[in-house]
Amino acid sequence: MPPSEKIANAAANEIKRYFGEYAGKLYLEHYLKQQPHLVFVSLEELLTEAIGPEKAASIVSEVKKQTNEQGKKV
Amino acid sequence: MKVLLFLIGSLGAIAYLTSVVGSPDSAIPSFIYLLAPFLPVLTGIRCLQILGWRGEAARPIRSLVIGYFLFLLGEILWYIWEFGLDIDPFPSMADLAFLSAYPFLFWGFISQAREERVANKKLPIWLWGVLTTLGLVAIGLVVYFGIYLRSLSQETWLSTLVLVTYGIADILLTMICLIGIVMTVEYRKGLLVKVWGWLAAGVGLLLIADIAFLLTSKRYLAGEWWVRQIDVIWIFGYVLAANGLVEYRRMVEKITARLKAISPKSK
Repeated sequence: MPPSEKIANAAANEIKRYFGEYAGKLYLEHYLKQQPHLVFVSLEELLTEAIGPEKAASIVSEVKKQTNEQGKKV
Repeated sequence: MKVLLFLIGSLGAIAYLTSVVGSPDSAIPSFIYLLAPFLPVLTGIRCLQILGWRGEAARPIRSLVIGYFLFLLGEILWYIWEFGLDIDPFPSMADLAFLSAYPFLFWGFISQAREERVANKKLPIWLWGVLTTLGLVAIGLVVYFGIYLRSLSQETWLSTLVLVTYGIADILLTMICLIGIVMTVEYRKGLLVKVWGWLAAGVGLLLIADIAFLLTSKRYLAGEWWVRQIDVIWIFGYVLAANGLVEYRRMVEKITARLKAISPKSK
């Protein structure tokens, strides 16, 4: 799986955690082929609405870290 | 929907308060009371329809829906025993249903808190103070009135066991309230604060009503009118929880609509 898809999948999982399966699926449909920075921006924007800016920023940085580490392992 | 919920809840409570018959033990106010636990079951199911029945987001809500369904089942069984079969419903299968509800509510809150790793968060010292004081007062009242005094009662062993188990269940409610306060602080800048805030407030009212019942149980069972209005606190406990679940559905609908608008398939 290309790194950008991994990032989109990881972000979609976070969307699923807060907004459910269907929202996660819609998110993935749109962002699967997008640039990683767009994925992160949209993820932070959506999560901010649900959980506030600080928490959203910490989740996004967690996803970045995770996907970056996975990328290195590959 | 939200307004409708409050209307139904408020009307139910008012009807209960002003019940023409005067005695809340009669069939009509008791039937009105059944509507209250039905509200969080209905709104919870609607919430799960949009969240999906499986997955991490659904897990706590599923547990809460089961919990409120068990409360509803308990109320229905109680109603059947009392008005249909004319048998004293305590202790009965209704109590089993009520008592089974508490762990599900507890699990609903705990699974959400675990998901957020709330236990790892550093809380402000004042919040620790408030939580500890509230927790100790509530647990103290429940342990003394709900467990200790009840264990000394002259009832049959089964009745005593059921009464004491209610006391233990109230400790679970206290813990849910404390978790609810922590989660409300955790989500304070997002829309989820409304969801978990209302849910925690709903459980808080159930706990307040339970404690009020413990303190006035003799007068309550004797049918003293104003003491029986503790039922109104129970009713609003269910209405607030239902409101939290409505807020959750609204939030997810809003986000889903936004994602649908940009989704390639919707174009």
